[in-house]
Amino acid sequence: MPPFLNGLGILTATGRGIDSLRSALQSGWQPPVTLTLPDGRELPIYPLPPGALEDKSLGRKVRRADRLSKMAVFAAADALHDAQLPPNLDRRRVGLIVASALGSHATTFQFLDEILTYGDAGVSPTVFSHSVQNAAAAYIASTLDLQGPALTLTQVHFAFHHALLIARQWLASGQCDHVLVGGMDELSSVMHFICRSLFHAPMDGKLRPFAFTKYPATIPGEGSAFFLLSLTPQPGSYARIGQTMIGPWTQPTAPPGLHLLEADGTLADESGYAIPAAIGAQLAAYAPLFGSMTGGTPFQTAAAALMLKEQICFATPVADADDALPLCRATAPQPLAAVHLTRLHCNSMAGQIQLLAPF
Amino acid sequence: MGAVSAPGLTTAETLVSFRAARRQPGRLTLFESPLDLPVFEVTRFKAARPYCDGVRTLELALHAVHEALSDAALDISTLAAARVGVCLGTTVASQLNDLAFFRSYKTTGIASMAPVRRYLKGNLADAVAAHMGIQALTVTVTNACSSGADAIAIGAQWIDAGLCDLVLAGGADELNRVPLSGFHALGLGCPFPCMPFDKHRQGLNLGEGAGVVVLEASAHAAARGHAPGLALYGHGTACDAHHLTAPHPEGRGLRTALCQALALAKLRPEEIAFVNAHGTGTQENDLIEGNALSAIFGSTLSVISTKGYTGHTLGAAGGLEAVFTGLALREGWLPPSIGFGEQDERIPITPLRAHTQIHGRFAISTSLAFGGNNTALLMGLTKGAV
Repeated sequence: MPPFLNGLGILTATGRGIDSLRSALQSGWQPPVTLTLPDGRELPIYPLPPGALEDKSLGRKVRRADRLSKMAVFAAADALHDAQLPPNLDRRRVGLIVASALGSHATTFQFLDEILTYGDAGVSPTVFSHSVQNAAAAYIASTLDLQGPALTLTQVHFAFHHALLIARQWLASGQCDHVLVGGMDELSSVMHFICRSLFHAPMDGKLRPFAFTKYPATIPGEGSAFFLLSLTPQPGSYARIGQTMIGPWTQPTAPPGLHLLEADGTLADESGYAIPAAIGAQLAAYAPLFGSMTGGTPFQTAAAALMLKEQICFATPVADADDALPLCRATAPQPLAAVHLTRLHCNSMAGQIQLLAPF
Repeated sequence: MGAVSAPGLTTAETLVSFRAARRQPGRLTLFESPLDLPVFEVTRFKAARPYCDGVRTLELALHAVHEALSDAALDISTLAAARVGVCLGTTVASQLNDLAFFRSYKTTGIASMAPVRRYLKGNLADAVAAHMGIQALTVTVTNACSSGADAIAIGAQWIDAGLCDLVLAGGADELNRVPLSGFHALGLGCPFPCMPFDKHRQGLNLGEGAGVVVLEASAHAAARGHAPGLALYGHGTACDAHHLTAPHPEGRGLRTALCQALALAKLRPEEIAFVNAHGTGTQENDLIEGNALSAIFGSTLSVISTKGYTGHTLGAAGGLEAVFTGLALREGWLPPSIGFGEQDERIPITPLRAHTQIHGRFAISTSLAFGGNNTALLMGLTKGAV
């Protein structure tokens, strides 16, 4: 049975929470922030808005946490709260899976800086413990008192897809009643330098997911998104998680109401997206709102879940494309039974997620 | 099963070291460090490739994978025809922790992107599958020191769910400057060879290695006429939800994980012949783990820690110790829990001090980790192997 997506928490450049997500999807494309790097080069990015990591109710529990852990805790707490689980919840049966493409790189670089500055014998134990990849999961579990299995996956490609697959197994096997699953990635000064060195930025600050170009532009983003999955529905359920596939791209058995392409400039060559774009389904891509993230699937998933719950299609924010492409060009209520997500990887592999309307 | 660590480049060599109760901690040779702490390097593995080109962890993993495949009588053609998973745990190989890259960036504002590109293409499970030339479901688990055990549990779930016929599962980690200085900063590094569960223990020694098991669906094994002799009968995982670096004082998550593993295997505690404990040699781990084990299995439980032979191999530990548990069941004996001498009166279990015959089919390997992760793997001899 496809698990239900019963709670959602999200934190991106567009703000924190479902209202911010909806507002961003309604408002459409906004220009990125342009940084001037130490070497004088400019880099457009989509960073978290100022104040996004301030929270009086959670602040005390995460006051020592690094930035990535705070991002994760806030979105995870929002998802759990959104799901409105009963107060007598057996917390030993709530699992947690945290997926990240790059993990705690900012804190790792901070630790390397400690080694260079203070020497191997003078480093901070606090910085070291936060550089361990599962620190964010530890903070989520302790802050929300989740005593079930806790898992962290750090891999550049398809970490969130694997997290969904494992969550589904935990639910199906009876190991868990609920699984909080999510993903996050952050920016840092070193990552700004890396992105500027590896990628090129668009002149006008716009990602163009439907250009299907061999040399896509990139605008790095950051954020976290978490989802509470359960085998039982709730009145506020967003969606059901249908098939999750990792492998060669395969055409959906029936065209979905909406096909989200995750072209965001993190793939060296995005021409391959022309094939999944041609299945005849209405197309959209929301990366231009959040920025480019190899681990960006949770943010597209959040958008898909909201659309399925509210039965509305939000206009794709940057619609520069061949006129023949069936893009979703206007925001409008629309009956949606399924949304399909496709993310490609340079080795001809694809990650695909099918989200279904909850009822 | 395949294993490479300080006591041996293979499982056979490891058994020789175990039988002789021989351990060989030494001085650090792989990289420069002012920290004078004993480590457990895989010394004879050094020649494979230069250190710090980012592939030592991968090479350790591949070394263990090849032995495991040979042990399972599998070849590449069989793998190519099967639905294969590669699920590996690591800590070091998951981090962009290239000090030369960062030093260059910090001091000059520029740096070669080669280490970054290597990292982006270097996901451990992906890289193992690519080196084997197989298409596989690949996941890299980064659950700190329980990563290897968690990877095995996920591999078992892939098989149970029908996603895979075969899964290469376990963990790998190389010695690295980041955890060496980090554990020293935490005050957890022992200045002499570690003493798991001993009254006078002062911390852990770092080690390196890889431990990999081949998990195979019973129908797939039967179809190729293979009788493995060992099985993973149960596993359990639970989080303390307590603290980033300290275990729950009552061992809450570990107790839950142990009970889950027993329930899944439909076994009672008295049916467990021995526990291969996480047993790092730190004050807190051994105190809490020893009490949790005693609470479930009683104080007469046969228990060992193999950290005295290998050091703490972090992301590899769960994989290596699963292999050691399987080897002990297959061989019918346990090595002494080297480093243990004097009983800590606060710990109600007594690790084995001598070579001991095993009486029973089933055993458990435990893994505890930063972040409060606890995982128990329950392994046993199959009925046909008894």
